[in-house]
Amino acid sequence: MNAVPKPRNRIPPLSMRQVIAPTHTALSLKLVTEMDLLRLKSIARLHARGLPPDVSWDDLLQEALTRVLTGKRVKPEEVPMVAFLGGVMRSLRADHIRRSRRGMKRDDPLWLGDEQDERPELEVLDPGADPERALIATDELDKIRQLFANDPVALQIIEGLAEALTAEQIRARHGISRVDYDSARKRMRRCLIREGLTCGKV
Amino acid sequence: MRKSMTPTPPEVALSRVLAGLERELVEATDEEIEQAAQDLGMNVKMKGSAAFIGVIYTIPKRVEDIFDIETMRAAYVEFMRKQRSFLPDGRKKDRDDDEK
Repeated sequence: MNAVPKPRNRIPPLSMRQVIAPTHTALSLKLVTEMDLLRLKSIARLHARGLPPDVSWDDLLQEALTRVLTGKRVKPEEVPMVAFLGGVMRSLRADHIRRSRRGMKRDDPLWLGDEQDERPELEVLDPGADPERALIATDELDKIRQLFANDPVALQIIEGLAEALTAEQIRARHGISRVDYDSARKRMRRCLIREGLTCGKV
Repeated sequence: MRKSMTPTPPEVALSRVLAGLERELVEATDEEIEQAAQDLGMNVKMKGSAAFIGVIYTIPKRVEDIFDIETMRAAYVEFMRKQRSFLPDGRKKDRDDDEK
């Protein structure tokens, strides 16, 4: 019976196997540990939420490491590597969102800019002006809330973060004790790491 | 005091939430990572653990990376032929056969 396709005996090597990935280099240079890579994987998957479909979480992670390895981004002595790389990924995320907006503008037949002009464009930062991005962001926020749907304290923390409140302000607003707040953070971390380590797409 | 407040744009809110959750992940201990992996049936101390897919090991992204695509195409044609054989005679024709 030959109806069911059989998996190949050996998976052909991908390009990533033929070159040394930045994660391998960073590991070899002891810039990060294996556990750090798992932290970074979870952070990358977090920052990949709502990004244009041509950018995946591993792109964010490998690009962040490449920037550190090539010296394009230099880590200050006092900042831990994972925190620094998290910041680089956050910045890459913002770059990709700006790029997708520029791309949309260039696809617009009424756009009068010069295609060859590589000079940075003057951008007016008005996040409310892009309804598509707003919809994507709303959807992603909903997905994040769903992760903590059974955890009211975690949801209060999420809402507080969205309003740029400090931990003290969140606790004061909802009357959460320090112990309960820290327990909720611990549950949130575990949930986020679980999300980060799963193999499916975010 | 203002009577109404301008709501935070969702993109700004998302950026703030992601930045806040990023801080949490930066602070995650090795034990927390191990426990979360265990919840998923992964042992991060084991060589080749699925937790490292995409980080140390590659992510198979294309169907060609997993299956022999020619065998798969042939199997699909065979599958469709068998599906059609189950249909009553009147329905064996293609939808657009009449137009040919």
